[in-house]
Amino acid sequence: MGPQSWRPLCEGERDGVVLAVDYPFTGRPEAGFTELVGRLAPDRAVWECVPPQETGLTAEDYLDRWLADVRASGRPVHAVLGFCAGSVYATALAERIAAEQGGDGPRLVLFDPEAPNAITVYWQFHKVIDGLGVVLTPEEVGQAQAEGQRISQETEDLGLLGERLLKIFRHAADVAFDRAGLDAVRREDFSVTVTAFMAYLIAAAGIDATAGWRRATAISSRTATNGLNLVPEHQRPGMVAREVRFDIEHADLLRDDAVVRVVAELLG
Amino acid sequence: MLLDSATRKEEALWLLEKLIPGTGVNNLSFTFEVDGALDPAVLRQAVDRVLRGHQVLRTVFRAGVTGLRREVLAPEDLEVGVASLPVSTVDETLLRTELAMFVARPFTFNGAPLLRVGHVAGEGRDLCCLTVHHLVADTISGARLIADLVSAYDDALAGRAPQGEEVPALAEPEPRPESARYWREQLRGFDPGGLDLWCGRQESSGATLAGDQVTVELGAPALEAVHRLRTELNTSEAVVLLAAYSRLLAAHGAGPDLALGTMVNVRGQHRQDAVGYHVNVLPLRMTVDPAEPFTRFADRVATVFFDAIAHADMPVDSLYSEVARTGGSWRNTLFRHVFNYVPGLELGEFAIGGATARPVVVEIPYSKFDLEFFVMASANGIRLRAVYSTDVFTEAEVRDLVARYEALLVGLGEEHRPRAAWNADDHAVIDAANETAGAEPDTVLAAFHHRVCRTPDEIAVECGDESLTYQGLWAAAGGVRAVLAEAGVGAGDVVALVAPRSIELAAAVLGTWLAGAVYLPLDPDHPAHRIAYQLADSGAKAALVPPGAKIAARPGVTVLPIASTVDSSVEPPVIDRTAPAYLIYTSGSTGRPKGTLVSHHSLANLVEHFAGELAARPGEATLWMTTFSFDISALELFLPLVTGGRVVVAPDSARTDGRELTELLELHRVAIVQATPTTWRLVLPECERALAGLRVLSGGEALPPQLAHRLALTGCELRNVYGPTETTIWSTSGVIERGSGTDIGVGGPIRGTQVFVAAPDGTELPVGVRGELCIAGEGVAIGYHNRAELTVERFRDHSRYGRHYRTGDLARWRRDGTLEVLGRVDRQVKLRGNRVELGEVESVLLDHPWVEAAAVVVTGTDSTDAALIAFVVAEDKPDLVTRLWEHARAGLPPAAVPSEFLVLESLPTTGNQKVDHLALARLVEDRAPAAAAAELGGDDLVAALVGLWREVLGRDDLTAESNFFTSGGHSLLAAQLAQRVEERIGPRVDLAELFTRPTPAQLAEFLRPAN
Repeated sequence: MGPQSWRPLCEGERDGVVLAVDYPFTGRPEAGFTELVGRLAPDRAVWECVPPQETGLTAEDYLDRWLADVRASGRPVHAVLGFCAGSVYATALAERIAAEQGGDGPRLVLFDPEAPNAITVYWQFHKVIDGLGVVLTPEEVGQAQAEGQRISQETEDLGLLGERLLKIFRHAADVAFDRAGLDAVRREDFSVTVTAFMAYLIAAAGIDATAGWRRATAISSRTATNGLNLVPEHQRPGMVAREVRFDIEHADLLRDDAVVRVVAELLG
Repeated sequence: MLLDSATRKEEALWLLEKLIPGTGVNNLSFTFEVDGALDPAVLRQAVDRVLRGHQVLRTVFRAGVTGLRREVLAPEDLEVGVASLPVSTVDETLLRTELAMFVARPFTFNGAPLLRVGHVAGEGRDLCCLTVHHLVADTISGARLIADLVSAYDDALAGRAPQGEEVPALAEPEPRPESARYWREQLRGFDPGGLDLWCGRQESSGATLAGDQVTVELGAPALEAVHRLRTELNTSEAVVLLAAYSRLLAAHGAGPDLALGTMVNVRGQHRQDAVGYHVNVLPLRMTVDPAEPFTRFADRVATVFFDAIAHADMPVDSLYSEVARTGGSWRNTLFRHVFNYVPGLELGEFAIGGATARPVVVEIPYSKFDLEFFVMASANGIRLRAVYSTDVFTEAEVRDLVARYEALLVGLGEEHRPRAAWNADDHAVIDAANETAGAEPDTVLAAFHHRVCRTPDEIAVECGDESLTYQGLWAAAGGVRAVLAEAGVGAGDVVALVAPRSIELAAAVLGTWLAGAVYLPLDPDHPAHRIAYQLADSGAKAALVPPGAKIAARPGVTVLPIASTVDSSVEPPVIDRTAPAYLIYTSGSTGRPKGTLVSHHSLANLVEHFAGELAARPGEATLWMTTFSFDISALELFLPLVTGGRVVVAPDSARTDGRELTELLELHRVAIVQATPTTWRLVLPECERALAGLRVLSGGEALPPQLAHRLALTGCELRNVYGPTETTIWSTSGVIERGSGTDIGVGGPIRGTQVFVAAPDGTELPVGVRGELCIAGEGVAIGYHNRAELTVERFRDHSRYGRHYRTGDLARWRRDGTLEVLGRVDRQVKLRGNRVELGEVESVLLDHPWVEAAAVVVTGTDSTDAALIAFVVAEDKPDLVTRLWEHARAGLPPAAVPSEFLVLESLPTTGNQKVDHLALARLVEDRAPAAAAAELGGDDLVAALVGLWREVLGRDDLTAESNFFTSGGHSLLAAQLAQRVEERIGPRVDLAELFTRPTPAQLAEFLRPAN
């Protein structure tokens, strides 16, 4: 039996496992760890987390599940990778593993790391509504997004914000599902996907990764709306131990050969 | 008035402007200047009379949904007038710009006239600019138009009534059926792939219509040559010039199946002066073989040329359907290079209104083709106007081509044998760059011994807190020698060094040489099986390891600790300079690692070069940071030892930790440091300040421009170095200045090194032309260890440069005598417009743990229906093909993912034990289609899924490899897709599954076991 909350992307000759945290179940054009691993051909096993498809979990719950499986495998963790908001979980995982394994702890490499906040949560909602635009009118899309934006400015509590945004989403989605001719199975499946992703983002906000990032290497794209590019230039140097910047789009970060070479060195 | 459909060739002109809107690409100008003033009112009258006189000039076109329709307006319905251009004639540049803008302004297809006239009333001279659309006139029409305008002006000025009858438009007859048959036969099986050149930017061919031109008068030697050739070959001047143009293109990579465009005047003999669009563009298809004698080639060209003229009634625009289009390019796919020979076009001086006038050429910034040689021949000489696409060529490249054309003509005139198309500059640049001879240097061991004698007490190596003097290092090396000698190691034996960089390793290297042996550097961090393989393959007699370390060595290899004993009495042995100094393994893209043997002579040459280029001084420190199993590490060790400097040992972690590197650089006052771009990228943010003033080398991979820029900004003296292991560490070196932009070259050949760029047939190529980089000179290695056939294949002989190594890298010379490396040449194919490296595909497949051998072949006749087939020898696993497919998809760009995987017991080989690709291609042809389908598990499912992908995304260009989410899909569409999969095909697909298997092929593989 392999681990339940992780899916192995590859096996490796050498001892130790590399953990990768991302949320690849959103139907997105951005490259994921599968692509990175395919190009990297690492000599250690790489496992990618499988976030639970349920809601109401805290950040601790996510971490506990993931850690339990790592512990059960008995394999030492060599490095932890995080993509986007997954960087927050990756950092927390690395800290806990360090405490258990002793020593310096696993290496921590973050790709366009971001700590979710109200703007991130709203932005994901915005993109979901955009996706309904094939069947909703521009006015309907604009209206739902405007309402979501208003709420995100008013609501400080992220949990509450999530609930309110999902309410708007469900309302818009009902109309969209009707027009798209989706059956009950697909309606449910779609809603669960969106809800679970929002829950993952919101729970991540419960982790303060600021201190942990200072010992991480960040790999940055040039996309202004992602990762450390959102941080004012003068604040960046202190955020992470080292930042390696690439002149490529966020969506291509995990499929770029130069990135692969750098990651190979970092994991070496 | 009369309204009828435009012809196909007329529509083609319009379509071009429709596809690239806002361009006056089809505009022509007939402009002249007058030594005096033109009366605007008289000029207007004259224009009016010309319009009345030519029905064709009153023809207008209307674009509608059904296409383009032609209409001839009555004189009174047409208002053209004369525009006054408010520009001074004093400033020539400004004047030219204004005229070019006037000419380039596009015409519209809404019934407006396709002619405009501009008048510049200048200071002491006037200009008249007649601009027409190609739909109503061609270049040949110019003479008649100007003549009519002049006489109309003179008549109007003198108050004479208009003379002559109205000239009806010349209607071209329908193409004859025999012409259609001729062209169909002529173009059968044409491969547009032969149009690619090895220069310019072929991939951007046809991006826009932006163009420019270069005009030259052919010099007397070229004119003489043309004259001699046409007499000797008993042919026309046009044929000589055309055959030479074809040869020029062939020498730059076109062919062997080449088609050129040419313009043929299709006015009948009795209407030679007709104004209108009466040229047909025709493809001249010929096979070009640079080895064919020019006389015979010119003969064939003449036949093609005259046959084309005989069938000129069928314009090229009617021929497109005869040739399959590729790559979705709207631009002409039959040819991209045009030869246009127009004799007697030169209009001399003439008089208008009693004043002297002469034609003026107004250049417009467009080109419909990659390159057009527009040849204007007259009794006085030959003027060549090269019009080119600026998307494809730079002006310098076109000037080079023109100069080579002239040189080629001169060469052909002297002797009919094929000649390289080189111009004088090409020879000068390349010869100067290769002028690198230097005096024979001492061997590294001898040079080091000189230093030991001169400065015995200076520090030679530093490692952390420890250090050793030159004398101490010599004695330590002597100790190693004694241990080796005792173990029976003698001259020519291979000694493996399996130790991290350290003072001990430095002593071990020198001690190995003192014993007369050859060192083999192995990385102790490499997997045990790899070390074991290299020990076995090298036939190493002994292995030196740090005290206490263990390695898995086969019986017969004596494993010895690096001695701590010293022997300072040892004298330097006499070393055979041609004997190997080291044996080093590199992993090829396919197969097992291969060992390269490098002589003392080659190594000494390399170190001597960099001692000079870097001006390394005694006492200066060089960082020894690169792993010793990578050959470039040897430079970091030997450069300081032969120049009296200090070797500073850096731990591995310095390659990733900029802070640690900074500390090392500062603590040891390091002056010279070398690393790969990957390392520089990692360490740069934290060691920027520490690099100021240092001499920095970057090599081993392509240096990305952005990284080069950041490195140069640190204030270091940056060099980009290039070279394969087979030519001893580095073969070229170049300084990268700040602000080099995207222009990152690898510099020029180093000391004792000659470089040439070769065509696939081995012909040496001139400046700017891409080919395989070949390296000759002192650095060329002895060869591969125990790989005689591979050595013969890669190390060749050249009549001029002698023994050389074929790097397999694609490169070109630059005008400044430096080189640019552009990737790999070997086994590059083009599939649906994408360049694919077959070797890369195989190497990715071989990375899979189940795969023992892999070979990839291309099937299909042209690049549109071509497909990649992968043959693998692999462990017998139930879902092998599925796994391989996933593996390939994860590791390769979509175009490079094989469309089929076939499992074989073993790969067929040729006599010299190489994979027999021809035999594999035959296997593909022979296998029964049904068997193939069974092998793959049935592709109906993939086809059905592709259908759904297309349906949901509303696109018909999607394939089995199309990623739903990068092709415009998102989650709602994915939900629709999942629903349709269940409805039409059966299985339930969760969205999460679709998100992680976003292509039809991936989803099919996932669904198959369930089926």
